[in-house]
Order: sequence, then structure tokens, then C-alpha cells
Amino acid sequence: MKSKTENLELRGDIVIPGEDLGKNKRHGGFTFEDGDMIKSSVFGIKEDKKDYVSVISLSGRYLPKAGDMVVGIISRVGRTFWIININAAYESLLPVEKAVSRDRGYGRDRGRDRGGRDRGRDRRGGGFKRDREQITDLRALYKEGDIVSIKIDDVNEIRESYADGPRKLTGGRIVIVSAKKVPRIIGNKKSMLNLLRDKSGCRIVVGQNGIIWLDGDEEAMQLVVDAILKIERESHTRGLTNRISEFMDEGLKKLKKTEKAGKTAKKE
Amino acid sequence: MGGKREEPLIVKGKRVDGRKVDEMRPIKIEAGVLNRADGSCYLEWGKNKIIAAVYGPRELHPKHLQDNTQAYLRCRYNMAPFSVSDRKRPGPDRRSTEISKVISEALQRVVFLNYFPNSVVDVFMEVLQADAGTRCASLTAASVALADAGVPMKDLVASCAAGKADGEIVLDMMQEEDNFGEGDLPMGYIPARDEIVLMQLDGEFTKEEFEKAQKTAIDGCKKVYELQMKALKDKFKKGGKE
Amino acid sequence: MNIDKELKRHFIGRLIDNNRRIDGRGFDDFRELNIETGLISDKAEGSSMVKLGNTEVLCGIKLVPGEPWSDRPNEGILMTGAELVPIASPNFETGRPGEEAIELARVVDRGIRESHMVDMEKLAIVEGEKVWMVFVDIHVINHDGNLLDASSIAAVSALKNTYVPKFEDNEVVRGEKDRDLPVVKLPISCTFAKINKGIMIDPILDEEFAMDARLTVTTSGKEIHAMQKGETGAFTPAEVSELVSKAFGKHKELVKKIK
Repeated sequence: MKSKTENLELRGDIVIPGEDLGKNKRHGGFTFEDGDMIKSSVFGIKEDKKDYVSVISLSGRYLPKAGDMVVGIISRVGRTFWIININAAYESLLPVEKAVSRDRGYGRDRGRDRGGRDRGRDRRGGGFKRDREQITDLRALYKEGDIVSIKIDDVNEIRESYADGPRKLTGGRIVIVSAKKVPRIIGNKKSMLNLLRDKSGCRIVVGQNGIIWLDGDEEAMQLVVDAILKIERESHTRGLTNRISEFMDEGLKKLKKTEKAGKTAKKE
Repeated sequence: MGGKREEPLIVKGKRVDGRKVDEMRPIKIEAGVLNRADGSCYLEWGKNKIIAAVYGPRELHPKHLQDNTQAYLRCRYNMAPFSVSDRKRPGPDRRSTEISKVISEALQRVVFLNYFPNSVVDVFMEVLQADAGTRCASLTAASVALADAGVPMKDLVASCAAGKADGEIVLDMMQEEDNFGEGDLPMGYIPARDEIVLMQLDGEFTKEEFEKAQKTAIDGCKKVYELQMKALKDKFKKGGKE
Repeated sequence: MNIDKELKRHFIGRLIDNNRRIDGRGFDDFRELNIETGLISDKAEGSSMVKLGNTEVLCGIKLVPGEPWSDRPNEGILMTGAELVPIASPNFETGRPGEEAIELARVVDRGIRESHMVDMEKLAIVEGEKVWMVFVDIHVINHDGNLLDASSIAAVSALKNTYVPKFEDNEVVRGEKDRDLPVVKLPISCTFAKINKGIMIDPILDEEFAMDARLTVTTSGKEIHAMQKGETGAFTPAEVSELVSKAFGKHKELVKKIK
């Protein structure tokens, strides 16, 4: 399907792999040095500042990065860990220790006090004991096929990663986009994401790996999905946030109309 | 190569299809044509019709192929059964295997494989209609598909062949010249680096003829490179599949 | 693991339970259909590129002289093959055709063969010795669901636009037309997917991830020539009867697009 982006203004110059970007500058993402020339390593948009140049890649599979929050699916359950498929060339490993309920604090090791004495484990609160020793059946927590959001804790040189802070995501729906478009979907200081959240009333969890989970009213979710796919198609253009805002407003108007029509039809 | 033909291949400087000896066939390149592949390219070169698709970097199975210093670049050149005059049985044959190998080796020169240890970057090339020069067309399309997929590379590889027909060095041979000519020199070349990354020769060339053919092929590659660049830059003007 | 499938199949089912399809179509609507014949006109005797939504299938027809079957000495021979080449999907592998490709080829073949779409008796070259072998080769280009119908339409529209080449001095004269391939009927397949209690026509890939059962019905106007039930779920006899009626109805609609 072709997108109609011919008439939209580009964010910057399009460059291809091997294209010259300049000399004697600091350089960032997706660039490399060839002799004294800085070149682009990908097909993307050039970001050219006075003494710094980098390239925004328009496509490419996700590579795990420490600190990223991603959405994935439990692929395998081991004795003391889960393996999570994050739709990349690399899976992430969630050790059972990290699945101990952090938010409730229960079972957490409280460390040592100033005198060096062991404070022991957190025993506040009621509810389910999720101490490391209590978890014998990992599947009771997360089983194969469960959808979770995780934080990438640590990535080594061969891109193996450990995960932390798991949260199970149930119900709702999923939309998958190119990982390279996620920054645009979140927007500058989360402007785009907040726009989508506020107008739709949906919960939206955006994984840096391009997997997005949402939950809310069925019609509102559909509108958000359509908006996200529109952002993905037009991410290389200017003025996108305004267009998406208009798109959401128009979509919501139509929903109110059909809602009204539905109600009047019921009355008759 | 080297069959017998009654009519000459070149008459008064004009070839069988009307071209001059240094003219290329028309080429049309479109990036981003398949919505499931990570990157793709559709290419028409004379009567050749090729689609290239790239998937990756992605998980590599079986595990024993994994290399923890770099990605495995896996290329497969394949011809559809209806792509040639005499129907070809589906599946890889010895020729396809050789072509896949030399194309893979050409691309391995430019892809930053060390960015993706233990993974695979798959490059698939399907010849839908063949008319001489399919390996050059396939390598050309594969480079564009890799760029479309966001795979980091040092540069694109452009590919074009020169040949010898009726004793003359010609650029970009077509079917009759391939069947009845005296030599074929397909080449993969990176203009900015002046590097030859694919080269095969078959036929009969003197040293002087070879030098001329090499220069002719390089000139052809430079023209192809410009078309590859234009296809990528035009992707957002026409609107491509995301 | 097919992560695409595992992430999507739960909510697709829920949408269907709420009477919605993921792309907003009606349950009885096909996606947009585009048929382009003659794409491979330089090398194939017939060809057709079908785009059904984002699903793209290319079919090429090659006529090759061969020996007839001993029990049918004056009839041409039909051979149908399909390749799920890896460009079309991240889940297609290289190697020999697997069971999915073979089922696809055989179901498409059944529709063509059993309807007698091509008049095989008109394809003898030298009676008892040499006949035309008609190779129907399906090449999947992009998989976004319902390869069966896209392939069936591609094969049928390709055959309708195929020529029989000249045969002179014991050789095929490639590129020179003797006559049109004799085609008397147009069998078209119609595939339905069942998800929970809902049944929909022309499943898009996301719906195939969630489907419990699949039924393909190939008709040619007044008769059924092939049926194939797929996947591990089930249909009731009443459901099947209704789908057969719908398939006849769809045939009227789709046959207009095949020129």
C-alpha cells in the first residue's frame, strides 16, 4: 500500500549508506569515519548542526539498549529465569530475583544499616509472599505466551541482555511498528504520546522495540492504532504532531456521532 | 556463450536491440515494495524483473552457525520456474548456488556485520523474468534492499557486466549477446572506494580486451550507482510501503 | 515462535466476538483485488500478478512438450506447483516445498483439473507421442493472508491469458503464438475463516493467526469442484451449507474481474 506523503515536507535531507556528511565535526548515531570524511552508514535523515552531525535511521530492527522499556512475550520458562522474545535478533533473560514484587516491597532485601547490621527482609504488607525462596513454580507467575513489559537492565558486547521490572499486560490489544519510529510516537518530551493518551483515554505502553500495548474502549483503541500507523508512515515529515491532533479530534467527533446515532436508533 | 548465429550481433555500430556498444538497457528501481520484509527492492533491467528482500538482523538457527563476533550474511539467488524460455525446475541448482556465493561475498565487504553478533541478515533475490545479466541485477537490487532495511553499510554495491560480441567490447549484454558472443565480465563495484567486490569472467579475452572490458563495466557500475541512490531518495517522494 | 501471531491472536478473537474485523471490513467482503496479466510476457506463455489487499501472488504458465500418460494418449498434462519463497514472509524458509506449499498447489490444481477449465483434449501435438504439458507455477511474493484465493485467482487469470506456442520441425518456437490456450470455464476459490463463533471471508494474515478452522470452496458458476477444510477446529454441517451458497455468490462477483 502506498502512502500519500509526496506533498508533505521532509524533516531533513535524505542520505544513503556511504554518503559524505562532512569533515572535522563530532558525529553521532549511524555515522562512521572513512579517512577524514564522516559518512552515513544507513538510509536515513541527516541531522546537521554546526559542529555535530548524525543520521536518523528510517528503518532497522531493534537492538537492546540498557534502560529501554520494551514489550515482549515469554518464550521459555527455565528453572530460575524466563526468556523473553522482544522481536529482535536477541532475546532478554529475566532472572527470578527480578520478579520479586518490588512495588509491594514484600520480600525485598533491606540491606544493611549504618552499624553494618543486616536489616533482613521486608515483611510489611499482607498478600502473597513472593520471596525468592517461595517461587518454586515460575509458571505461576509468568508462563509461555504471556505478554509482559520489562526494563532492559544490562547489555553485554554480544547484545545479550538481562531484564528487570516485569509487568504482565493482559487484555487490550497490540500494534507493532518499526522500532525506529518509536521516538516519533513518543514525541519530544512525550508530547505525541500524551496527546494520544489524553484524547483517547486509553492506557498506552510503548515499548522501545516497537511493540505497543493499549487498553481502553474498543473504538478509542482503534482510533489510537490508526493514529500510530499514520505516525509510522509519516515519521519523516514536518508538522506531524498537529496533523495527528487533528486526526484524533476528527476521529473522536465521528465516534460521538455514531454513538448518538446508535442511541437514537435504540430509542426508536 | 559462443553458439553459432547466422546474423552478426553488431551491424554498423548498432546491436540487436538497437543500442550502441556503450549503452545500457533501461533500468527502473523501486525501494520498499513489500510490507512484510524489513527491506525490499523491485528492479527492472531490460527485460529482467527481480525482487530482492532483506530480513534481519534476526535470530539465527541452527545455533551452530552462530558467530559471536559478527552476523552471518545469508544470500539466496533463486529463479522462478517461468522466468526462462525453457521452464526451470524449482529449487537451487549449481549455478544458483555459485551466484548466491559471489553475491554474498560482495556484500560482506560493505555490511557492518560486527554490529550484530550471533544473528543473521538474510538477503533473498527472486528472478521473476530473466534476460541476461540477472546476477548483476540481483546484486544491484540486494544493495538497495539492504539500505531499505536499515542495515548499516559502508556503501552500496553497484553491479553491471561488460562483454565481447563480434569482437567488440560491449556494455550490458542482452540475451543474444550472452548466447552467441565471445565473452562475459560481470562486476560488482563500489565507486567511492574504487573497489571491485564481485568479478567473474568467462570466454576469450586478450589482455587489452580485458582492460577495456573492465573499464566499460566500471563505467556501467557508476551509472547504476546513481540510479540506486535516486531510487532510495525518491522513496518518500512517491510514497513507499512502510 | 511466531511472535506476530502470539501477540495478536487473543485480541483478534475479542474483536470478532464484538462483530469487528481488524481492518474494518464486512464479514462477507473481499479485500481490494487487482489482477495484472502478462507481467512475464517475454519468457512465460502466460502470467498473472494478483494483489489481494497486501497479499501478492505471481503465477507463471509454461508450456513444454512431453510424453502423454499411457491411458490418455491424446490429452495434455496439467502440473501445478507452488513456492512459498522466503521474500514473502519472515516465516517462510528455503528448501523443498513444505506441507503448506504442497496443500496450496494441490487445492489450486484440483479446482482447475476437476472443472476441466482447460480443454486437455485439444493439447495433443502428435497423438500418442507428444502432448503439451501445462506447468502452472505459483510464486508467492508477499503473504498477508489468504494465499489460497490469491493463488487460485492468479492461476485462473494466467491460464485465461496463455497462448500455445508454435511447434515446428520437432521444436517449440518460443515467443510465437499458435493459438490461445483452450479455456472453457473459470473456477474461483473462496476461503472462509472461523474465529470463535464468527465466520469471515478472505482472512487477512492477522485473522489467520487467530483462526480455528478454515474452509475453501472452489466453484465455477453452477458446480463445486473442490473443497478443503483446514486447521484444527470444526464446522457444523449447517455452516458448511451456508458457506457453499456464499461461495457461489462470490463467484459471480469475482469472475467479472478476470478478463
